[in-house]
Amino acid sequence: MLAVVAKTPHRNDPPASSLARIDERELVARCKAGERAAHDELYHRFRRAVAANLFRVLGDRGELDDLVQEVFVIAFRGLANFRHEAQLATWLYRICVNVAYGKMRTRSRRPPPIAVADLELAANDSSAVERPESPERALERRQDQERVYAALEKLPPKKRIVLYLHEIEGRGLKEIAYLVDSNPVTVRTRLFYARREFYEIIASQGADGGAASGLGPSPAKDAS
Amino acid sequence: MSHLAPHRLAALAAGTVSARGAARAHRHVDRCADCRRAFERVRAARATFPDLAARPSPELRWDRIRAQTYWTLGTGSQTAIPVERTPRRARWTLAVPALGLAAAAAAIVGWQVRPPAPRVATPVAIGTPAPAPVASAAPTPLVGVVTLVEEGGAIATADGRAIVGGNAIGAHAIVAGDQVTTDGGRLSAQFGDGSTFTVGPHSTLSLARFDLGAVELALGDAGRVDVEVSHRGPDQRFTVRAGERVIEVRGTAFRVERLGERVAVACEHGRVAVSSDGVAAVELGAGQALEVGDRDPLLGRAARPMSQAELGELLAARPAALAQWTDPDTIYRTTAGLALVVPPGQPVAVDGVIIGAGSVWRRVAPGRHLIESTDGTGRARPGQWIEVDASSVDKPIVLAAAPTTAEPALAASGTAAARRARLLELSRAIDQTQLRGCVRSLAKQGLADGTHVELEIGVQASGTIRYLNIVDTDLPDRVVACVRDVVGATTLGRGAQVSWRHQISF
Repeated sequence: MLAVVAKTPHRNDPPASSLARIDERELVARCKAGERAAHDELYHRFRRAVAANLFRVLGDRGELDDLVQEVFVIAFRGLANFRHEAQLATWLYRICVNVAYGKMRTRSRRPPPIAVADLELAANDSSAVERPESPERALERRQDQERVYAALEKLPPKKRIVLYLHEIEGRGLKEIAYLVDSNPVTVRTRLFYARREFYEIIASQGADGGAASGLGPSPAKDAS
Repeated sequence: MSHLAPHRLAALAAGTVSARGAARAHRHVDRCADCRRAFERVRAARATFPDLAARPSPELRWDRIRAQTYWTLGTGSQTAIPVERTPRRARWTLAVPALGLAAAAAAIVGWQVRPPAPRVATPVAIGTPAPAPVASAAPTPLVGVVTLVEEGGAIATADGRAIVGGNAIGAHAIVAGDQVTTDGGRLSAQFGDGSTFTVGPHSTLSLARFDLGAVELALGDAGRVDVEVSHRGPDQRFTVRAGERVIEVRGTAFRVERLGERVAVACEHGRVAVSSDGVAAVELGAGQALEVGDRDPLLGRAARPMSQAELGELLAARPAALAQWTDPDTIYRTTAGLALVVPPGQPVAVDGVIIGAGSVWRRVAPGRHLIESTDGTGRARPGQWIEVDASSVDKPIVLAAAPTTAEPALAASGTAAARRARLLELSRAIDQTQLRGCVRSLAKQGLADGTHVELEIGVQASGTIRYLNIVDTDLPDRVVACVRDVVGATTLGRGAQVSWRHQISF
């Protein structure tokens, strides 16, 4: 089965409810029966994973509250049709991807691809803290991340989604096809063009993240 | 000199190029300065991927998101108003693509033009509405669950009893024969498959029939009712009588207002028909309104399109519905009454949705709810969380008695002594060093003095901190998160279950 968005307990999470230990099937069954506590439990179990997924795909936290809410509204409404063909987390991730895709399409303006405050979140991540690094290196890392999101922003939404899922999250074509509700062949084609455009943008970014360096696409040749 | 394509450089960085291809590419990169720079950029970008894939979730207002989700589920399931209808484009339906058969194709291939929805309805003469089907047994009676009572009101029952006051009305099950009268506020009830009606201020509404066979509501001489019909039973008629006029529902949300000898009908979505003794009818579609006198002829009259402001007002008056409607028995068993007392005229919001003004009684699902209101001067006060338990049916929680000062009312529970004891315990147990550490960087810049974080803390009898909300602060998010973590990590002993607000000043 697909990779799962695991629920990681957070120290700010409220104490576990009586439903905290029930398995996914039972939780879904109780939700379908309209049990409010089950909805609460599902929300508590997956809220951080949903927010993190949206945050990573979109690159900024603008309207993240609204998007998380949208995901859960869609999920609660659609639970009646959930048949356990995929894991609940994967199904939720699929909704996240669709919501993120919708958000990308309807963005009337392009906000800064990633705010410094958002990147500080990543810097505060325990995995990052464990690696001692100089302030210069940390700044470089942030700038690199900004460049990546700036390049992603320039891609059309469909290409951006598949590129993110494949290149950054390392998901396979079949998984991506499920998540974007497409077929693997289409995903492969889309990915091919997305990679070409994305790395073209990355390669042409100057040291300041903006100006092109003159490395044009036309005189390219294959190395393989 | 030709260059390597950037995506090939990415493949090279990823190590997915054959050994021979990689060697050739490396030779080229070594010789070509442009490609070397591009390769470095691609490699640097790829090096960020693991970090990006592991970025944690930012801290969000989880409780608010949850509350808004439930509200959306409860109120957003209705059809949105098509405010401005634009005509659909004509579209081709190509049934037979044979080019040589022009004559035949003309019959099959054609413009399917959907004309724009008429902005005014054409009066339609109708016969006498079919009477409700005669059933061999009496139709199943409906029960209306009161969901909102604003500024009091009264219900006169068929057996002559008078039910007065928010709490008593909230506990009353509305049945056929009841007459609802409101004072300065509204009263909402939900029934059937989730249909709702809201009786407007200074209105009287009688329930002439209220069963699966028919719902017949009758407005008094003055007043207003907003109705939203989610689903009607088979052959069920749904009408509102206002004076001489009968407004028949065709699956819709609408408003009927009695203005002396005139009746105003406004249709939010769906379709209603205004008739007089069933002789003639004017049909109203979504976003249309009609005002007609009792003695005016209906034939030849047309509905008019509503303005944006009128539509907005209609939307705002949408009847209060419960998020997860099932049936009255279950609703009575699983929900609770929440009585809120705020200064007259001051709006009060539950979970981010303004539900009314002044004294409001609202039926809510168990769990935590965010209550927001304004103070006596009209300023928005910080929200407060309250816990509503399913067992508190018929025991409505009175939040605060009309606060008239700017001092926010506390959602405190437990006795004052218990709260003081818990506060003292928290003050002693909290890690002051860590707390100071949270504002260290600000303190170095001289920016920490006078700052504060106001927290709302709920502690269980076991000593577990059940919830911890940031109510107010003038510090950056990161610092607030740190303070919250420090407070949340504090270990308390067994004692009273209390909740209170606490301000930490630096």
